[in-house]
Amino acid sequence: MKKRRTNRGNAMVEFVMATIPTLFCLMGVVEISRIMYSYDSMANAVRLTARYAVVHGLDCTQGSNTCSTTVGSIAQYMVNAGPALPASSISLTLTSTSGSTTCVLSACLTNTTAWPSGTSATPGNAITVSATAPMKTTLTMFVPGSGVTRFTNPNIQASSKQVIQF
Amino acid sequence: MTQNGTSFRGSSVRRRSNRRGAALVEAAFALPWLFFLFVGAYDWGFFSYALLATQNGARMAALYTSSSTTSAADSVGACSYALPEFYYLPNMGGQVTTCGGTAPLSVVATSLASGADHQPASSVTVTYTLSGMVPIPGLLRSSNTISSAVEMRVK
Repeated sequence: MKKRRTNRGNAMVEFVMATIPTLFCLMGVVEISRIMYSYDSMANAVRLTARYAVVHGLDCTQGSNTCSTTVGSIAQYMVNAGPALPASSISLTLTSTSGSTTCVLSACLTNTTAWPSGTSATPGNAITVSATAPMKTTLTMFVPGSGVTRFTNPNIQASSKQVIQF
Repeated sequence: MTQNGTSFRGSSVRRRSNRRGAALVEAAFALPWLFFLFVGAYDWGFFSYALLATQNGARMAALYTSSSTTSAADSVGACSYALPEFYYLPNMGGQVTTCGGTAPLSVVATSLASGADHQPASSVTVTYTLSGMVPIPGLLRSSNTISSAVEMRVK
């Protein structure tokens, strides 16, 4: 009886020893996939937003139809292009030949400053739209030295440079 | 040793220790395959990401070169439009800012007098060399070269 009980304990200990690294690997795969998905949807939203901006330059205006864009309308386009994005934690940077402006995506929405402004919206000029978002992940608490209760936020960033077409 | 019980117990102990050894050997046989499987999935993930980045980079570069006749063959300019797409690749990131030469990325733009629709066009070829994360001689190559070409009509 004594011997059999010992064996059973061994199996349990072995099972636990094998399960812990397996679970870590599984969680790692899930977390990295989640981060990759977030990065990809943000990169796509940034590309679409830059495309929206470059087809709304100075030459876009025809007749009574005006194409002028503001920081707010650009940000609204990005929110629509990536509905699952965390708008309150994404930092959006818009760069044109006349300088750059940075704001939090949800706060950008109410910004009525024209962008790209004046002659920087002339076709042929380059603009860059870039976004940075912190990713909350439990993975970082397994990094040696980080401490079990610390959740650091690695950033993901995506940017798109395009030339104003119209 | 003449007693049955002693003899039985002795052989039973020996068998158990043998079986334990077998488990260790079996684990040693199985682990390399699991490891290679993991490394393969890891490298394949990077490879497929590089494939998408190369396609996106070529498209972004072609959108720029096709914007005017002066930019139709501007390889240097095209490079700066393709670069942001490669930001998260292990041998690119912020440290690579130019294309060609020793850089893992080359962008070549050519002006075509007559494209697919017999109108002036611009063609961009982006070639990217990805270093394997864990090269295994004979199994996984240490580098893969991906190429993508995009042709767009000049505005």
